[in-house]
Amino acid sequence: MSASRSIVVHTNGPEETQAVGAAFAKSLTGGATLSLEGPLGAGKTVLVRGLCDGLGVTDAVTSPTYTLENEYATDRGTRVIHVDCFRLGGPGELEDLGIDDRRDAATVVVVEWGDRALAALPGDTIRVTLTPDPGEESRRRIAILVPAGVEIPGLGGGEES
Amino acid sequence: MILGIETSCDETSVALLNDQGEVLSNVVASQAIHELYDGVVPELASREHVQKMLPVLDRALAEADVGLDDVDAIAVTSGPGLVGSLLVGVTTAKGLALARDLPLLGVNHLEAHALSPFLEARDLEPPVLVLVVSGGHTLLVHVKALGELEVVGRTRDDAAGEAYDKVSVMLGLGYPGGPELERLAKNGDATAFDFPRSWLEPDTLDFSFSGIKTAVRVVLDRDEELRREPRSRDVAASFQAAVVEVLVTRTLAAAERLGVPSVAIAGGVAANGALRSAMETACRETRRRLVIPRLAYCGDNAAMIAHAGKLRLDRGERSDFSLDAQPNLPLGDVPNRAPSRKKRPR
Ligand SMILES: Nc1ncnc2c1ncn2[C@@H]1O[C@H](COP(=O)(O)OP(=O)(O)OP(=O)(O)O)[C@@H](O)[C@H]1O
Ligand SMILES: Nc1ncnc2c1ncn2[C@@H]1O[C@H](COP(=O)(O)OP(=O)(O)OP(=O)(O)O)[C@@H](O)[C@H]1O
Ligand SMILES: [Mg+2]
Repeated sequence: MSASRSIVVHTNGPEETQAVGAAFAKSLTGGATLSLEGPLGAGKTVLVRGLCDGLGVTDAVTSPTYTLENEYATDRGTRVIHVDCFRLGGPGELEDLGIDDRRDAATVVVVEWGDRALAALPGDTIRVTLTPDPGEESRRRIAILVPAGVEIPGLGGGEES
Repeated sequence: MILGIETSCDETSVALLNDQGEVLSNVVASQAIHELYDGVVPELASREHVQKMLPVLDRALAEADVGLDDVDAIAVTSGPGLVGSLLVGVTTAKGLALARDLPLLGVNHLEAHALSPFLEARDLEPPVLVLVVSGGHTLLVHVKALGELEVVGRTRDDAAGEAYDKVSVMLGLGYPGGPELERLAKNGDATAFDFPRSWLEPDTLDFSFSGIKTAVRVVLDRDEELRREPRSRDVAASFQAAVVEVLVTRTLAAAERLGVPSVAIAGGVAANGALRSAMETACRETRRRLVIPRLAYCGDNAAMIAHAGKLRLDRGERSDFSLDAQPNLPLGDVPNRAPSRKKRPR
């Protein structure tokens, strides 16, 4: 069992955040759940777009706020379920979406505003927090918290905590 | 007479159209309970649809002063939307059609929005360029013929209504906040902030509204006073001016490029007065006809579903009883097209 690790990167502009998503995708295994956190316009959807790119999704990735969830097939026979809790009242309503029934080794689940429904997310959820820089409009701090016991192959440079 | 049913999102709606395509009744029950929760609750939504379906159906029949015996066909939204909500409508429609041996027509919710301008403007003829703009969608649809629709532009991130609703939340106006934000903008200075217009690449007819949402947050984070009246009025007015400018410019560019003489707006955001008047001006200047359905047919409603269903029926199309909820149904896909079947003599 490994200890929990956190990785912090800074990006300038949406392309860099997308690249972080794409790079992180390479280290993800099927069955993983990510919670994306941060204020309106932090770049959660931008990051998911990169992540989907890295996982082999060819469809356009748009905001799931209204649809509540979008499902994308990858060119590798796996899929991404992209959920948004912005309009949901809490964990109970996330459960109502029935994502747990669709979780398997070929599915990556990404949840925007996951902090609003943490109780409904699995214990091994990887939490990603995007923080805008008050002084720099296109700068973001991205902190990825990998829980203890979750192996992310090929992911170096993390700080042990 | 055709009966239409819509349950794709929060609204439970039933409408009746006569053989001339005139709306005899259009009853819309909104799920006001969601405002308490700040969100749509999927399970709750379907439960509410179940509770409301029969009373809404009864009221639609009563208002039209007809009985189920007078109904010749059933149209229902089969997608896109929330699966649980869609199922309530689809199940009801199948039950009615099966019990009464009536033709069943699955309708694409987006196609119904795009065709809603034809509901009352009887002399409107394709081709028409329709801007479908709601909480969940921002699409430019080229209606080449009543049965031939092509999406020529769409949002790459947030829908315009979604941007309105998110800025409304930032300004503490609640959700959904389109109408409140418009009210606040009325007394504001639209030139106070120069919010970005996202034009993307020169050739595209797509939209992007995530940049303006983010720009509003940045401005508000720098000065908390802007979140409150009176200064929030300027933020609202400047935000609205940017969104409207992009919607109108792109719509007119599409009409110009495709050589389409008529323009229409549909969907919940078509209720927006600033959008209406800017589009009116732009169309007058370019000598294009503009059609905006009355408010009752802009938001989600069953009259537009019955109307789109009637157009399919008139073309001899039917759905069969394998019709199911299709949460991701894209525009252009006809829900479950079955070979047409002779109508039972009555
Ligand atoms: N470094 C950056 N990383 C990500 N996005 C950035 C960055 N700099 C600027 N942006 C802009 O910020 C916006 C982020 O919007 P996005 O919709 O992805 O945010 P979000 O966190 O998903 O918001 P919401 O809470 O509404 O879902 C985009 O318009 C993007 O271009
Ligand atoms: N006056 C207005 N100004 C701006 N936006 C408005 C106005 N009135 C309504 N809206 C917006 O319209 C949207 C609601 O549209 P609609 O009733 O078509 O429902 P929807 O759930 O978005 O449907 P769809 O499934 O068609 O996307 C909301 O985002 C709301 O804020
Ligand atoms: Mg988002």
